Amino acid sequence: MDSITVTPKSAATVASPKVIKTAKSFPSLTNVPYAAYGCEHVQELFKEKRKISQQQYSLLLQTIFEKPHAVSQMRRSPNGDAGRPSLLPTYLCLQCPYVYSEEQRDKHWQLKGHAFSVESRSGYLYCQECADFIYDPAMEEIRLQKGRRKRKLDEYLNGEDARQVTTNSQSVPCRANGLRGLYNMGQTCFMSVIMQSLVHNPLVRAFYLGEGHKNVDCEKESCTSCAMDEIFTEFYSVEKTEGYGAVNMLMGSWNSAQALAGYQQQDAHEYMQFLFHALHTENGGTSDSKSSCSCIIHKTFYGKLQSTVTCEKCKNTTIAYDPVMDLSLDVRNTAKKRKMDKTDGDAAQSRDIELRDCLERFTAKEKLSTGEYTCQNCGGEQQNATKQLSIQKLPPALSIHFKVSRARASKSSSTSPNEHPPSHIYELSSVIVHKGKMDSGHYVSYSREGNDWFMFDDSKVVLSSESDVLGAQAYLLFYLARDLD
Amino acid sequence: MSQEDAADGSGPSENSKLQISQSTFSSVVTSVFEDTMYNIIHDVVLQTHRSEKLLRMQSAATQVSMAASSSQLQSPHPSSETPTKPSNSLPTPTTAKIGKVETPGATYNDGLITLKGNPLRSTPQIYCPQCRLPRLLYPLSGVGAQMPDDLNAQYCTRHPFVSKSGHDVYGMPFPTDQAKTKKERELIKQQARAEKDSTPASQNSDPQGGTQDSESVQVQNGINKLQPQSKGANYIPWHTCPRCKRSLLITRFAQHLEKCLGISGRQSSRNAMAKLSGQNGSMGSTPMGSRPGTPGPGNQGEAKGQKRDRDDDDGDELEDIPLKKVKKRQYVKKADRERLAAQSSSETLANSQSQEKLEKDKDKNKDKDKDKSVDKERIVLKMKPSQTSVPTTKEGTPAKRPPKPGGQNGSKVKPENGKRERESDKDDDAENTPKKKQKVSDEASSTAS
Repeated sequence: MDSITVTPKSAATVASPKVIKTAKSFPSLTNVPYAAYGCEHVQELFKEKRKISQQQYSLLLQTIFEKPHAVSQMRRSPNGDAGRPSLLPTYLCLQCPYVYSEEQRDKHWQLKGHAFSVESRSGYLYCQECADFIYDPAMEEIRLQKGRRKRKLDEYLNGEDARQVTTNSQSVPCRANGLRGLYNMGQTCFMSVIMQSLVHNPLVRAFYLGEGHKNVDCEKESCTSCAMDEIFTEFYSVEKTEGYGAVNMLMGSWNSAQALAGYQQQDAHEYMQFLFHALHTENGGTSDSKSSCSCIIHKTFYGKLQSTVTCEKCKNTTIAYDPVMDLSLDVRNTAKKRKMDKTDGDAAQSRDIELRDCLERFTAKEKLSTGEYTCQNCGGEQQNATKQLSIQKLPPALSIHFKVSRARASKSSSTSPNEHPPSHIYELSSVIVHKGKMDSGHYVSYSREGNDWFMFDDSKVVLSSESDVLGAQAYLLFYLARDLD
Repeated sequence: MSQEDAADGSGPSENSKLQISQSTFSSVVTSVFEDTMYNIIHDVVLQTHRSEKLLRMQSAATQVSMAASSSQLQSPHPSSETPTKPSNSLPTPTTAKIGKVETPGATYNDGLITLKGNPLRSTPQIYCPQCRLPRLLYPLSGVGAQMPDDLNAQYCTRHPFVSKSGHDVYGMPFPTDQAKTKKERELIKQQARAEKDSTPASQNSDPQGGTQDSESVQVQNGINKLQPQSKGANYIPWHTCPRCKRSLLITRFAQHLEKCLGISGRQSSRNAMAKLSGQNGSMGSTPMGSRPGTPGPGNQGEAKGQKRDRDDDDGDELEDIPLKKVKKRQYVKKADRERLAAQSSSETLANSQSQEKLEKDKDKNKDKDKDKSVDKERIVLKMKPSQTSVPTTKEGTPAKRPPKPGGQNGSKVKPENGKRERESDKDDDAENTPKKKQKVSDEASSTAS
């Protein structure tokens, strides 16, 4: 935490005349000015009790985020009227161990003069003197980590490193925000939508913008990863708003995937599979299926599927693990099943398919017909068996593919698969929509940047609304884990 | 989340108490519902509050550091801040060397910036921390559009997104006509330039014209100025094919590339076989096909290239006579062409006819008003089937060679301009089709021989 206090100072020390020299051509854009404290009062507080308040804040945050909600929602005050849990936000005093409602909090301030309290739903700090929530840089840092200790990586960017970065970097144009279209080069919309989904995937973006794959160092000819790098550079560091022609990407793809090559419409999902494979090999992926690959694609998109096959005769189970890039869910069967379930449900209702149902179906037990399974235990004979898929490991970015793009999928914006204790809660990040017939049509995609949704239709980028996105007929869905550990 | 709260909180306590009367139950439900709604609103409001307040904090810091840097300009002193846009800084009292600078929202003290009061109150304007220019708070057009107070001020190029039908998030109109020829585009450019030239002048001449027109023009100009320079969604770029170095309209690229890489067509399967049996590397023989595209005047190279290139072609009828030189029009010298012509004069009869027709068309076209781009377009299209680049060469040099063997090739063989061709961005449709034909002919030759 001390490091945080140091930062403003170090920023100042960086300010040697030398910096000014280098900065002349490019006015010190890298020194982004920022307020050192959330407000004057927290500044005062930090003067005397910086360390202890921060420790206290961490503790409170841990209480809020890690202990059962009842703890932080339970009001406690010195005069003993404890025990009434509240659904409403409560305020945990930073200076004493009590929990107040909003009115009590104000009273407590008048009585004791404890100016700071922590809101119980998100952990924001409230300052009584400002009569407002404050967002102190140091405190926010703690809050974003939920009061836990700093992650190791965060420590790296300090002191010397920070200096290096400030002196050697230029900031990108204010306008370069990654929102650009991709020209349709002639039936290439299947490619555009996948590109857009990747470009707006923060993990992939961090990899490429962090020089994960350097164009310069790459020897491979028509490398798709280089093409990807180029796209990221174009999207995030060039002040252009018109579309971009992903020529190299197209060439790279065609050169390495004969099946996808050619002036014709392709399936976006197939293309995604190809692209993931290509990016995997080009970014130091191992072809060894046993050891888990550490390439960006695997780290980001690959989960693990467990398939359990039980022999009906001897009850012997065999378990196999498969890495999966996405969950391919069968929509049609679910729809049928639902229709049968409630025959009197109106048609419109039964056409809406819940993602949950698809997932349930995906992980349901499934009979293998004779001939599909040979049981080792029963002497190598073919036996009836049941097979069940379950998700063993969920990836940070979960993509879901609907095998039939007919039906409208009504999605909840966050879903936590319940096959296993939910290790992630996901938020929707991109949706790819197919329009038109099965064998011909057009793809458009939606992606989220912050809280704004954008629709990408080739070179066109337009604002969209969440309801539009949720109402769209999804073909591919990309979810992102809300928290990463 | 809120449901969990309900479960954790009041839920159990109420449930455990045996029976609940109807009225109690409904009041509990109501209160749970209300609390839950309250929480949702609380969360949303707080989220917005946070993002806005952070912006204002940043903005206050930016303003004070701008003020500080301008004051440091006056009294040179090593500091972290470099002069950026002193014009934007507020008039602030500055103290001596160390530089304690104050603005309504913040204090700058020797590199340390601290807030004064609540930035939501003290700092109404958002400043971009990077370029240190004020941000526009409303989109310039579409939903919620609002003109900035000061049209002449400089603003950060990051604008609020525009939501307007037929326009993208940057307020640029969508392309209406996908394919425009170079001439058309030039025409448009000219017009735009003409407009630009004329409007500012008029504006200057009568600054207070008072008429509605001039006012609206002024506003429009202001908007134009605010719109960052960019090509807009209307713009469809040309791209040089990395393989054959031709310049193509980006929207036709896949089509071209297919041909260029030899993916489609009769020959493609053969290619694939060759590739499989030959090198296993991802780069088979095809890449070499591109080589001939590079300017190497050697005949050999050309011939090689021709063969390769040819494979993509399929559909068209074969020509009787193999025209080797044809393929890369760039390199065929006039003499060669003539020779070729002689060779294949018979074959080209039909072609020559068509070319003549073409030329006629072209002449006609020339006569017509140049501005009638529509006509031009039509003509170009017409040419496509049989001819190629002829129309696209410099206007002054229409098909200059007599319809000759090259007939087809003629088109391909872009005479003098040949070398430059790759840089020149020219109508690509023209190129594609012709190429095909030629390839066919090449192929015919190779297979036949």
